[in-house]
Formats: sequence, structure tokens, C-alpha cells
Amino acid sequence: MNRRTPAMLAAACVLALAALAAFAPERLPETLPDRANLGPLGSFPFGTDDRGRPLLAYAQQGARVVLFPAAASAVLVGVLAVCGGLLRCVGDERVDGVVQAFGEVLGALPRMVVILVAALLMGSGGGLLPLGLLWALLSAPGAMDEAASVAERLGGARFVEALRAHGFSWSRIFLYHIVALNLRPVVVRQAAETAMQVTFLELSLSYLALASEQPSFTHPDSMRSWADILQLGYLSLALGKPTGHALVLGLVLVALVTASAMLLTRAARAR
Amino acid sequence: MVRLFAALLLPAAVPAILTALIWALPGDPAEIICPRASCEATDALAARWHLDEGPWGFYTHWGRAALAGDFGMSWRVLQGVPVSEMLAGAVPMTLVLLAAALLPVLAGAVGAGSGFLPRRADGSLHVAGLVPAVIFSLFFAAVIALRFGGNSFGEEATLWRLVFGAIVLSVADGALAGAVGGVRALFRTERKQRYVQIAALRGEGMLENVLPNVAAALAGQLRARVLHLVSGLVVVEVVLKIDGLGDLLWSGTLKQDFGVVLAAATGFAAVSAALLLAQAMLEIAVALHIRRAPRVAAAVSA
Amino acid sequence: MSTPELLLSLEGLAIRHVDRLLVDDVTVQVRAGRVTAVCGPSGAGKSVSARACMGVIDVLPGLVRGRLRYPGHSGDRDWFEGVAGGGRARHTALFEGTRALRGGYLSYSPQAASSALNPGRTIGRQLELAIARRAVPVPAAEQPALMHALLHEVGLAPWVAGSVPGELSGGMCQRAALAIAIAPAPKVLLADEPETGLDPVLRRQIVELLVTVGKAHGCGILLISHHEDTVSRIADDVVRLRPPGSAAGAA
Repeated sequence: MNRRTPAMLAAACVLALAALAAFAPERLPETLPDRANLGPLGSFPFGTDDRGRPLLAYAQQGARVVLFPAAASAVLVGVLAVCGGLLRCVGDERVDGVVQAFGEVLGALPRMVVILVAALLMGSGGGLLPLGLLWALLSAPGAMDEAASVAERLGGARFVEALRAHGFSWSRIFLYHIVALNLRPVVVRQAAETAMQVTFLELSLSYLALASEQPSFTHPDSMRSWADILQLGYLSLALGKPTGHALVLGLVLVALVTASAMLLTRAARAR
Repeated sequence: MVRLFAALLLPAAVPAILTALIWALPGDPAEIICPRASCEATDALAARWHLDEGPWGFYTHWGRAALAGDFGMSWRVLQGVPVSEMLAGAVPMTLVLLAAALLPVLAGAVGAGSGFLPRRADGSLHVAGLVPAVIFSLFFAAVIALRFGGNSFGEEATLWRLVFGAIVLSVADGALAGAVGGVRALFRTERKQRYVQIAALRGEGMLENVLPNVAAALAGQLRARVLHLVSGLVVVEVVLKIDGLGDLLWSGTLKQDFGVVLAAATGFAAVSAALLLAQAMLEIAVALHIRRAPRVAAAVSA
Repeated sequence: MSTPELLLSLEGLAIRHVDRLLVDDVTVQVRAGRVTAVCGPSGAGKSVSARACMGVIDVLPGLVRGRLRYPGHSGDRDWFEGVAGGGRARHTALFEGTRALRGGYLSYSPQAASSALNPGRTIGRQLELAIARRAVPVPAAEQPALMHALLHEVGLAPWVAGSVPGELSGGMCQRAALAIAIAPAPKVLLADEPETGLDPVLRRQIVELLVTVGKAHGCGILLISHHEDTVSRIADDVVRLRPPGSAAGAA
């Protein structure tokens, strides 16, 4: 399988999202009632909301809300997955036992419950980053387990011994032979999935807050989330409001995030 | 053993950790729970719930009362209403929703393991599973709003909310796809084992040979799926306006009603503990089944 | 002297996998109380022929030609009839049709028994299931004694019945596999390279045990082996296979 095509496509998706975030306005533009509910084929690329504000600004602010926390969560899961794989290569049964017990305890609770409790304790000013990192921590047992299985199939500590006997240094063995050559697909997949899940977590929490007419836990009131776009879309379905273009935009943004994760995974698997 | 230990400890550990976290936050716990700026009964709350006795005092009083079915009063969601009453109304709905969502997941798992569900179905399930629950839910919420009106809670509307909720829970976020894929992979790996192929040469069936050896792993997968469903409850119940435990937890979180959140989180912990216990029991049963051996005795000579 | 009863007859077997003949013109006959050895180098088609004897052909296009009869069970019926050129469906039908024979009339003793026995069942339970496949059911009251006798015959102590394969040595697993193969009182015992993975002393013991036990139960033994010394020592009839294209025949 060619690695280049999915990698390029993934990079394009991520760059598109990063560009959206980079050029996000600090505040939504002023309301312009005479430009309310315009479709995407007019002067505004993605149309406007019921107050004439461009949906592009919503998309940009939403991207800014999720981008850094999603990336940070992905990095955390990736690092923990690498640790899980490397610890299996150390071959210490006590360490294995501790990692397994850690996984059992963390994996025993439904993630959303833990996230909501954390949101409660942090209050509405906490932002998405701590919740995203917490989500990554809760996802870590699965990632570590998968990486450990890969390390096990390699031969674990025996694999390391064999390479040491060939004269390779510890750093080369761990970083190149184990992580780069063998753990890469697992780590990238887990990181990409976590980033996607954190984005959807933000979407869910913000949408629930909108549905309850309350401020969101994940971003300040001055910012908009992609959930606002979906809310406009819901109104078009349920109440017949002329904001159907918002639903399309919302679905496209979700598809973009999903595509990024899948393409990254495919690129990492290809040789 | 770890699993059994965790199962017994979880319902006690979750409120303990929450208590520790409340006390770890800067400020007076009573003021955190019921700020004087917006709440009149801070001192009464502190006295009623032993918040002035430190974390251990609060935890032990709360724990003893909880064991007797008393989870205190709601402070913000429905002020003055006993939380146990709110739980009694919410838990049955959640259990019905969970059971309904579990049916397609179990059917999919059985289909995948037995080979009835063709492999080409996996692709469609995977694609459907990529859609987040919130999007599926909002579509179905719109359908209900169009059919019954947004705030209709008649029998038919409630039934449809539950049906749609079950569909969303089982399909979205990869619950069903994960179950099918996981079970299929498990059986595929096991079928490749040499002893299975040799058993066919002895005229034995595949399933009878494989099932005891995969039972423990299957139980683990099932527990993960149920936890996945439980995690999705909050979004589904809130968006589809189902008055369940997830909706209660969300309301408690949003309105910072620690009494409700403590009780709801402990309820979820109890569900997790039950799942862990079930898995541990199944593993013990499988281990005993594996150890089954008939009696062997020399013939008694006449 | 009367000819021993013919229990299995495989004539003119040819099997193709994709575009390559795996076996060509293989003829094997197994008679009661006699050891028929099928030997040859790696790739000669020994295992493929052995599996075909049991009605198992799991390559495609599969059977090209041949006749398979079990005279001691179904007389002159040719079990390969209609299979050649019939694709996956016909080969599956053959597999299902001969299922009842496997583990009863035909019994299989695998090589490397440690990985061939179900790791999730005790030896006793596997013996129990094998005994249940006997044509004449054994009363429940007699089963403990029968299991004891079977284990004793292969040189295993009664406590082995309570062990799972992972708890036994390679040699003990091979003996247990032999006991499980004999338990259904088969007519034909197919032993697939029983010496694999064993040291020379154990190899000799296992093969001799196989022949002794098999003959004591009146079985016809089909022995797959690539050890010439074993074959020359114990076989009554020898079928030497060569990679397809060469002639094969009975000794």
C-alpha cells in the first residue's frame, strides 16, 4: 500500500483545520439582520446564521477551540502507548502487573462519567484542554495494551537482547527498531482516534450545554463551537428554519476530522 | 483477583475520591457546593451533611446514609427533592435503554462469532460507527420534534425516544462495530489454532472446542461494550430528552449539584462494579469448567 | 491364511491446488491388524493424502480424480463420487458427509500433540468425549474403568486425567493423544508423524506403543512418516510418495 497518498491527504485535512483555527476571529462579527440565513452560494463562503453572522467565523472559532487540546491529547496517548510497548520489552513481571492493574482500574469506569465529574469540579472556566488530557488518560490502558501486544509479538525482552547482541545501542533499539519500525502504526492510530474523540467530546459537551441553554465547559462564552453550527442545523430540521446549510457545514467539519484520523492511520500502516 | 478486588472497591472508592477532590479544591467545601452569593442555606447544608467535620466525617455519614438508601436532597436540580426519589425515577429508564441497546450489540457479536453475519457487513457498521452519537441523536430528536412536537412526552413519543436512543447508543461511536469486529477477530484467531483443526479431524464441532477457551476474552469484550454504551448514555438521554441516569448526571453537573452528581456517579460506579463482578464470576466458572474431569478408577476384580 | 479385512481403500488420488498437482496417482489400502506406512520426502503429499483418506480436502480446485471407500462401514460406496470439479460446495459436502466417520470409524492421532490437544479441556474430559463417539455406547458405570485401562495401556498414570495438556510433557501429550485416538474403538487409526518433536528414545517408544495398542484393538493403522528406519521396522505395507510426476506404489 502506498504511504504517500493517504499521508498527503491527511496532511491536507489537518492543514485545512489548522488554517481555520489560525485565522479565527477573537469575536464573532457584528450582527447584520439583512444578511440573515444566507446560503453558501452568496457572498459568504459557508452562509450566515439567523443574525447575519458568517458561519465561517463559527467554523474558525470551533477549530481553534478543539485543535490544541485534541493535539495535546493525541500526544499524551501516543507517549503512553509507547511507554506500554517499551515496558513490555523490559520484561519485568512486576512492572507488567502494575501496568495491568492501572489499566483495570482506569478502564473500569465509563469515560463520560469521569469527564463530567471533572467538569463539575473545574467549573465552566476549565476549558477543553484538561478534559481532553483526562480523556487521553482514560484511553491510555487500551493503547498501552495494544502496544504491549505488538511488543510481545516481536519477542519482548528477548528481541531487545538479540539486538543488543548485534551491537545496537539501547536508544537505537528502543527508538528505531521498536517504536519507529513496529509501534508506529499502533501509536499513530491511537493518537489519531483520541484526537478525533476529543473533538467529538467537545462537540457533545457544547451541544448539551446549548440544548440546556447553559454556558459550555469547554470554551468561553465569547467563542463559538462547531456545536453551534449543528444546533442551527437541528433547528432547520426540527423547526424548518432556513439554516439547512449550517447542517451541511457541520457534517462536513465532522467528516473532515474523521477523514484526518482515518487517513493518518492508513498512512502509518502503509510501508 | 484484581478484577474482583476492583469490583468490591469501586462503589466505595468513587464517592471517596469525589470527596477528596471536593476538599482538595481551594476554599470551604460548603461554599463550593453552595456559594453564599447565590445560595442562602450554606450553613444549614454544612450542618446537615457534616461538611464541617472534614472529608472523613462527610464521607462516612454520606456512605452510611447511602447504604440505607438516603442520598440526601438535591441542592440545585430540584431543590429539596430527595435524590433517592430522582434516582428511582431515572434508573429504570436507563436500564431499559441500556437493555434495548445491548440487544443489537449481542446479536451482532453472536452473528460474528458464529459466522452468520457476513464479513462484508463489517464495513458498513464501521462507517456508521464513525458518526458521533451527538449527530445521530440530533437527527432523531428532529424526527421526534417533527412527529410529536419537541416537548411531547406521551407514551408513543417516549417509546420512540427509547427506540431511537437504543439505535444511537448501539450504532454510534463504534459500539456495534467494535463488538462485531472484536468478536470476529477473537474467533478468527482461535479458529487458526492447531487444536481446532485437529478437532475437525476428530469429527468435533468448532464452537464446542473454541467457546470455553474464548469465554473469558468474550466476557472482557462484552464488559467493554457495555461500558461503552453506559458512557454514551449522557449524550443520548439529554439530546433525546430521556429522563435517565445520564440526564440526571448532566443536570447535576451543569447546575453544580454535588449531591446529585455524587449519587449518580456512585450509581454508575455500581454498574461498573456489577460488570466487573460478572466478568470475574464468569472467569471463575470457565476455570472450573476447564478443570472438569471424569472419575478414573481401576476395575474391581470379581 | 485369510486376507485381513479391507477397512480403507484410496485409489488413484490426484489433488490440485491452484495450478499445481499436490498428489498424483496415490493408492493406499489399510487392512485390519496391519500397519500401512505412507512415507516420502517433504512436499511429497503425505499429509494431503492422509487428510484425503479422512474425507478432508481443503484446497481448491481440489480433487481431480480418485476413489475413496470404507468397506468396513459403507461397502463399495465411493465417497469421492461427484466431488471432482464440484468446487467448494462439493468439497464441503464431502467434509460434512464424512464427519460422522471421523472420531468413530476413523481416528486421528496427531503429531506434536501438545499443540494438537484442546488446551481448555482436561485429558480426562477429552477421553470422555472420545469414548462417547463409540458405535456401541459404554454404560456410565463402566466409563471410569475404561478410562483407567486406556491411560494404563499408553503408560499414563490415572492423575493425568485431571491435567490439561499444558501441564504435561511432550511425550505424555503424545501418549494422551494416542489414548484419545483409541478411545472411540476405531477401525482405522491414522497416525500423522507421531515421532515429531520427540527425542530418539521416546520416538521409538511412541511408535511401538502405537503399533501395539492399535493392533491390540484390531485397528488398521495408517502411519505417516518420513523416518525410513521406523517404516522398515514396523510397516507391513509401504506406500512411497514422491512429488507429483513420479510413480508411487506399495512395497
